[in-house]
Amino acid sequence: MQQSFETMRPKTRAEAIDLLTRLGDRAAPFIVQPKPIALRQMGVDFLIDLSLLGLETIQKDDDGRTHIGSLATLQELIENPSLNGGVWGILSQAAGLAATPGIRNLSGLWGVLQARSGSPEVILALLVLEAQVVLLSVGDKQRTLTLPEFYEENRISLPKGELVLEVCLLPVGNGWGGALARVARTPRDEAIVAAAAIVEVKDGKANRVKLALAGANPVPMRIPAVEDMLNGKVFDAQNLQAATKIVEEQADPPGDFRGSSEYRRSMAGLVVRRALNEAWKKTTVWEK
Amino acid sequence: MLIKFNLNNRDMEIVAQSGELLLETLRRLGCWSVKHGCETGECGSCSILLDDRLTPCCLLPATYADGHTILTVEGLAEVTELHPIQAAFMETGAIQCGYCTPGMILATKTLLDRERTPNLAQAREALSAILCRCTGYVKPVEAVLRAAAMLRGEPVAPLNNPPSMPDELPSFFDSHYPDPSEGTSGVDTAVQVSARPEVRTSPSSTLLNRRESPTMVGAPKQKVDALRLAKGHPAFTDDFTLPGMLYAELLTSPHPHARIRGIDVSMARALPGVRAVLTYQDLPRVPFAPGCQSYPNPKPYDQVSLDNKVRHVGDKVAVVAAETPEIARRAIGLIEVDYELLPAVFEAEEALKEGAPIIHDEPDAIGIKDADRNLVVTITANIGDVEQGLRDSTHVFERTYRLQQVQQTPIEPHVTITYWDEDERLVVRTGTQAPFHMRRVLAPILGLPVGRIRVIKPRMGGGFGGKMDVILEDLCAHLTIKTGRPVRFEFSREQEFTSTRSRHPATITYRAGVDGMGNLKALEMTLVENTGAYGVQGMTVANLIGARGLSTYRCPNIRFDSKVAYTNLPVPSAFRGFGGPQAQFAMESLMDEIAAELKLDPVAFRMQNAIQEGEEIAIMALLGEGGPVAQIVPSSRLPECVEQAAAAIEWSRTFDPAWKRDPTRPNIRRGLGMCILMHGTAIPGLDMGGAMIKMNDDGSFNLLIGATDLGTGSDTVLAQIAAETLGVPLDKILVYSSDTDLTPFDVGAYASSTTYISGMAVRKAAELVLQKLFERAALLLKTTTKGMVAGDERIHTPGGRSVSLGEIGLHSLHTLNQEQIMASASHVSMVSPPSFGAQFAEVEVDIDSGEVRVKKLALAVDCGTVINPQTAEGQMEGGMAQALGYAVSEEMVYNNKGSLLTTRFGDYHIFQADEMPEMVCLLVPSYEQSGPFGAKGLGEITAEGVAPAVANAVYHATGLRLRSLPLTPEKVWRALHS
Repeated sequence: MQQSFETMRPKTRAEAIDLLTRLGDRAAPFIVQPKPIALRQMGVDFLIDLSLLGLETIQKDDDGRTHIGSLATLQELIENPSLNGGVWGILSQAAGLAATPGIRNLSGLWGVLQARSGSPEVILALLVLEAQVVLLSVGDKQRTLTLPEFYEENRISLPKGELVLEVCLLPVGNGWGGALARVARTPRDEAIVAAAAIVEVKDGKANRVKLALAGANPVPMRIPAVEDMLNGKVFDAQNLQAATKIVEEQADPPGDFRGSSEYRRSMAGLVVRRALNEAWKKTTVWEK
Repeated sequence: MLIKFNLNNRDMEIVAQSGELLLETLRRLGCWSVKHGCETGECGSCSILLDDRLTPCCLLPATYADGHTILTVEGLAEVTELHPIQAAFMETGAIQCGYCTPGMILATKTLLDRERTPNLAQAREALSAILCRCTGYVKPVEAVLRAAAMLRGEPVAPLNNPPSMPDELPSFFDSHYPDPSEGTSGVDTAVQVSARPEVRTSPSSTLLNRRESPTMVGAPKQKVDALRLAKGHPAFTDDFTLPGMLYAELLTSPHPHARIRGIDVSMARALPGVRAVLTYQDLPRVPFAPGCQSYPNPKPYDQVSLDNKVRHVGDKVAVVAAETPEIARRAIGLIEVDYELLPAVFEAEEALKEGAPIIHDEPDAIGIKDADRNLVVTITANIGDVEQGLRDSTHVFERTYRLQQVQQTPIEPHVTITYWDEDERLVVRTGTQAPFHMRRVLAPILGLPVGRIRVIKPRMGGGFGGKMDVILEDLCAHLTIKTGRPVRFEFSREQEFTSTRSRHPATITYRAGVDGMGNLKALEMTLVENTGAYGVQGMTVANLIGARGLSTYRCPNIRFDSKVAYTNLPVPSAFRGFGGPQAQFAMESLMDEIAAELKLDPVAFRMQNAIQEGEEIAIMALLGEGGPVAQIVPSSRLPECVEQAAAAIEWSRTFDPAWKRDPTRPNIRRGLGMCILMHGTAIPGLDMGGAMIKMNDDGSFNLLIGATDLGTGSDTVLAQIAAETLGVPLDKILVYSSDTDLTPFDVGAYASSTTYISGMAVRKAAELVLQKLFERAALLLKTTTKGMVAGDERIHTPGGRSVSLGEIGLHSLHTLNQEQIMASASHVSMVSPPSFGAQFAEVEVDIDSGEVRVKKLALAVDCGTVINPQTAEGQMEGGMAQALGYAVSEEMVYNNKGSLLTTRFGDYHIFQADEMPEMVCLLVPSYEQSGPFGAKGLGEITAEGVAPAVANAVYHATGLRLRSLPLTPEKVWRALHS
């Protein structure tokens, strides 16, 4: 059902939180998802335009953490030099896959966090980079959640009366390699199944492995069983095959018109193997 | 809410309405270049530059503009000026329908503002913001690179000069750009091999009275409507407003099959601002066939404007007209419908079974063959004795192929504006492919005489067959009749998917017999076609599936047996190719299978059996759409098409097993595939076009044509034919088309007929005018018309004297024996000369995932004389792009309740600029005696070969024979693992 709406543009974060709290389900922050929802189908009476709240900056702090404002656009993630190098490159690569250039100029990480469908690569990148989500609530209270914690809390809907302030990326040292892998109907179509992997190599073996997978379970998720299994190992054919087997056994995907459950399960193993293999190859630059 | 922003360098202060989108605000302010294509930003047609960033403004509330700077195409250049990007788009032929052009121009600007020397990948990436269904993105990409060169101040060669005769046409890709290896922008991969159409000099009888060789025919002339489209001027149906205009909204069915037990519109009617609510209770019940086809419309007449029964999710239930779109939407939400749910059926084979739900049980439907069995029509045809032919064959094959439902997805949604004019005649301003048929079909539905209706087709944002039916025009008109007010009615993108048109799903079974020498001895096609909830065009498409699928190859014994079934799916109808894509996939897959099984060369096997020039197309005598008309192939350069396309794709690689594997990517298999194509031009004995030409004081001419330019460039092609005949430059031909009051009759844009039929009408009218010019020149020069010729805007005597057309214009209108020099002519053809083609494809198949990636497509077409190679190439590129989606990804997918799951561009997914394969277009002209300057049709054949060529390439790569489309990763993967 199409619905009309009023827009409100608070000048301060406190005002925005107050509006969202008071209006409850009748209001929603004006956030563009990478797979946008038509404005008139958002199902609210009030859209809270947050564009005056300074949520679009990307900054690096003294501790090497990068703070990505929740409304910093996906296009800025691609263009920002500090996010383009090293293993963080998978985030800008993922942003490029998330939407068309025009939509990337409107959609930011809040939109990504809010999305329940669409290209999964940005979430996968954030998962393996162990991004943290910073929320702001009444009384200027901030709290920081890991991405899994954020999703655990907000499985049904996003925070009421809270603002997603920023997504924080922790510093990643040298020695890491990262890669995305995907299967899709066409090169630019939404992925049916996708994986992101980053791996740190020490003394020729995996020191730390982080792997996330989408399309093989109801929501994108880390795969700790594989990460644990591969720690301390070389990514050879045997170990990658073992990783594939674990993933396929653990996968519990709902099917849809892009791919059935059976296909997704099988592709889960494939994209995991490819992402791990590619990430491993990229670490060789550090090994040399 | 009061908002302030800068729009196109002007400070604005306006009140944004509640719930208003920025898209609506900008259009309200006269920025007509900002187009509605969807509501989710995915098509990009509403793109603006918001603080220099490309932004789809349908995603923004109007209030968001406050404090920002906005640039639209209107702000790029003043009247009479042209921005270099606009110029580049016009010159390269990057503009077809032009609906997405403003977005593309702004996307280009954002790229070129930050990158002076973009490479091909950057150009494609920039254009990936904008979906285009016409061009295949080849020429827009070239426009980006050309604009970059222009903005750098580098010289660029003109692209629309007349050709040096006979075969030295300027090449679009001939060194207009700097060498990319030198670090400047340019075509850094072979996007396309240049089309070098040979323009054959026609026999003397068809070039009478021309002073020189053709200068217009065969020249890549810029489209006559390019300026208005590049500048975003108000040219489309919706770029228009009237005082007191109401806004319509539609209530559609959420159920696939239900009877309306009750419908309560009282709350909707009571809503302030609502001016009309119409349901089946309010309208006369007039069964009709909504297809805009020639008189008499083919049966069945199984639809009424609003019914008490719904037959698919998205079917029409009620319609509202209100003072604002917002009120209309609210009113729709207030209508309460009591549905009696009925069992539904979605597969044609199931629908035909005993006991299936009966979809058309209304007593007043006309012309359904067997409504109790959901059987719309059966068509059979027999030549020779197929059973005997099969018995006589050395090899017999039986194969079944399944084709999916896909959508035309023109970027411009269906939109109509209706109003009473000052004489109280109903004006229907709408994007229809057939305005004259539309008027005739509408008249009885509305209870008005034909003469009291005027249909105007403005510029149109793509049609592809999807705008050949009465879709919303009847309801919009009913609302105007009810309220006395102008009414605007536009579909949302979701309604486009659920409530408009699509291509018929079909199951085709072939039985074929081949003798020991590789000759086809028997060919039988059995078709089950799913026509969805209504039978519109279902019979005609079935007819054409048979005709297309049984005519390319000579065979002494042929049988066609078809059933068209109702189901509870949204309605298929005309879609570019009109049965050709379904038939070609089945036929050309079958031929490949036979060749493979008999270990024959697939090209040689086809050519051995392919119908040749001078041979009879036997099946056309039985399956002609306009009635049985025997057809002979009058012209064919199929062998040259095959030869040239094979060379372009490097077909010799097919014999190299090593090439099929990439040593660096062990999961990849490479393959090449091909097919041949044949598609008739126009419907013989049925399609008719008229043209009128009148002279002005200055020697220019108005060309009035009923023909319908969907964006294909037909207005330009027809103007070139007139200009060629009259010996004037193109800008002296002022085209006005597609208005039932002001232009002559034309059947409209379908059946690849416009250049051939309407073009010949133009040619005839121009020749009649030319004769009058000679007579006036003779009067002025005090001589006879003997030996006179036209050229250079003058009439020349054999003795070397001449008089200008300007002098003739003034003399004829003002001086002596005053008369309006003008003429009209009509043309109908009793033959349907087929165009021929060869489509080749190169693919890579990932054998682990099943992903099929098409790397290159090469299409060669014999369409007779090429009137305008630039627009012809555009047709080929766009046709291949559409067919690529049909081959690998596009499909309308439903849940088990008949609800469409792919109701937005993102999920349905048409190809974007940055994922297109390399495309090669080759024009291989013949000379078709019955066509204007030797031309045949082109529009549809371009969209028919990619699917079978790709499927055959997948077979070559993997050994897998896939008999259903699309070739999705999962389908291929399953086949690989079966």
